[in-house]
Amino acid sequence: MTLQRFLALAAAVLVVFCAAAMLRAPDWPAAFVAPPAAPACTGQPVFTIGKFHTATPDYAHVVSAVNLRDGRIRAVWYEGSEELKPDVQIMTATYDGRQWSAARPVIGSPAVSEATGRYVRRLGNATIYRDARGDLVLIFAGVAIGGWSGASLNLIRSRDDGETWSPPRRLATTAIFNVASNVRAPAVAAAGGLTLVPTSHEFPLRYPAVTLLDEGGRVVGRRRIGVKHEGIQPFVLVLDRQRAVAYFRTRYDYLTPSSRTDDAGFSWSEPEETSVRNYDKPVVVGRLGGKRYFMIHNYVIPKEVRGPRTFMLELSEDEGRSWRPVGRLDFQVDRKMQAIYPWLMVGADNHFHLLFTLGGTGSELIHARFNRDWIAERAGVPCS
Amino acid sequence: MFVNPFVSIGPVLMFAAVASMLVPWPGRAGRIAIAVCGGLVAFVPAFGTTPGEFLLGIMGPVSAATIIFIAVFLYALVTRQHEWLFPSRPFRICVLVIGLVFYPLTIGLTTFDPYDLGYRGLALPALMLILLVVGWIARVADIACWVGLAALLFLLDAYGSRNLWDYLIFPVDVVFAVLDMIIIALWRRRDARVEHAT
Repeated sequence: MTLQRFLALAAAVLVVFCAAAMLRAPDWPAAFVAPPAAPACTGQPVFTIGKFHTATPDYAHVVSAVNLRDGRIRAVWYEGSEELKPDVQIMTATYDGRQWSAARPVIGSPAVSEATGRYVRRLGNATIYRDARGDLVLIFAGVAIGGWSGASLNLIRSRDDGETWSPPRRLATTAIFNVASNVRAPAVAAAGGLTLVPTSHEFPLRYPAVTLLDEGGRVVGRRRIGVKHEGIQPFVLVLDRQRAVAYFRTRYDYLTPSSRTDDAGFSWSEPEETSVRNYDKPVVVGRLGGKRYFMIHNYVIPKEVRGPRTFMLELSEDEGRSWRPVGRLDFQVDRKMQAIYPWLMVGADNHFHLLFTLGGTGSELIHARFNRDWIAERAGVPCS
Repeated sequence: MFVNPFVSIGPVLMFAAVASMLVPWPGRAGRIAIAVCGGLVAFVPAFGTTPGEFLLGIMGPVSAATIIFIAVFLYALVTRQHEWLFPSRPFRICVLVIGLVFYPLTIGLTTFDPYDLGYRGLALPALMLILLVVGWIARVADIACWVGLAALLFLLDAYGSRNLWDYLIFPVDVVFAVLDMIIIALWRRRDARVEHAT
């Protein structure tokens, strides 16, 4: 047997082993984890809002948060002298129901470089969730060169609710140099201990995707949501165990496209425009029970796209197919700053918690707390 | 410092090849030393990182095809056996065809994303077996080396990726294949002119 023949046979044996490994890889989940029920009505509307962190003159942005086991909320965000500067770190603080703790750093780019063995100059968007094992998982963007189009995703996990974190690990999510991948919206739990993380692919073309992670935080799948309208930062709203709808931002004026799945995110419909008038910023959606949902998104005044941005509240009574505006959420609009990048969650206190950036020269992070009664009252629907 | 030795293969080979190109040495021992020293440049601390870590940071670990391209090229430079400068024509064609089909689809032109095929199922192993058949028929060893190395790196989880594409092909492989074909075509044209002249 010649050397060439021997090498070919040896390679074929290895390929057979590869095939066996591929067959054992986790299948795409058959279902989402059933979505939680909407918070209960209390009979009395509650709404409070206030600043929980001031970064000015620095810039804090892209806050995400998760419930801790003891009922507190842990928020994470990135902060530095400016977006995409080398001094940007991932920061965290906790809310105990009455006040926020002081912010402290989680990780910076030098530590990411050292732990991953790859040059990372800047950090960016972070999203946090609790995985099927009960650990906190924090996925954040790291950039070696260039801007967001050069971002790769890194993952750290915590077993003590965010007091300490594991060394970061690079996630392989794209085919071209593993770059142009970013995160924003909350992760979605799926059957089998798997997690779907909404991600964006941002270079050379933009499209939204869902990235599938196993219990160990390994990337084991990725499905493109849709390429029409070049959407990014998809927010995935789970309707039931099979169906979900994704809303994403797009740089095209006033547009908020959406796409639907009825097979737990494996395939998605062609993106369609919704009636929601948003301008190139991510949206969030909350549950009001039954087929009612509310959306919080950036509000655009026609012909004033560069004016102060505040939030618009929209209501859907048909599982997100149609929306109507029901009011605005203004906060210190006289300061001419921009309210952007909302993060919405339900806390252990049965209230909605909305965290967002108020940006201008520097930025502040804002925390609004309200209950279902307050939203229902604004929307003009019964709370029951 | 590299977190595992496998990811260092690409940067080390690249720097060794560049050093060998830039510093031609008359003796083989010297050429080997140049290549080794060039490879070690990947580990030299500079500006808070190393050249190898910088390369990994901007492009990630290379594929088995890249390793074959560079290893063959480096071997030719060190041994001065210039007929070894490039992998075989079937290898180059296979890399080129796969790359020209795969990469345009990954950038978002359509909803179909072939990258997802690398996580599960038999599509990619079947493609690799087809490549082996091509190499068997063409009687070239580099395709078998390519496929076998890719499979081995995947089974070892060498790069921390569970996607078989990451071990099989890399964006610069298409560039290498095209460059090799252009250079060979130019050489043949030059040789034909010389023959014609004589």
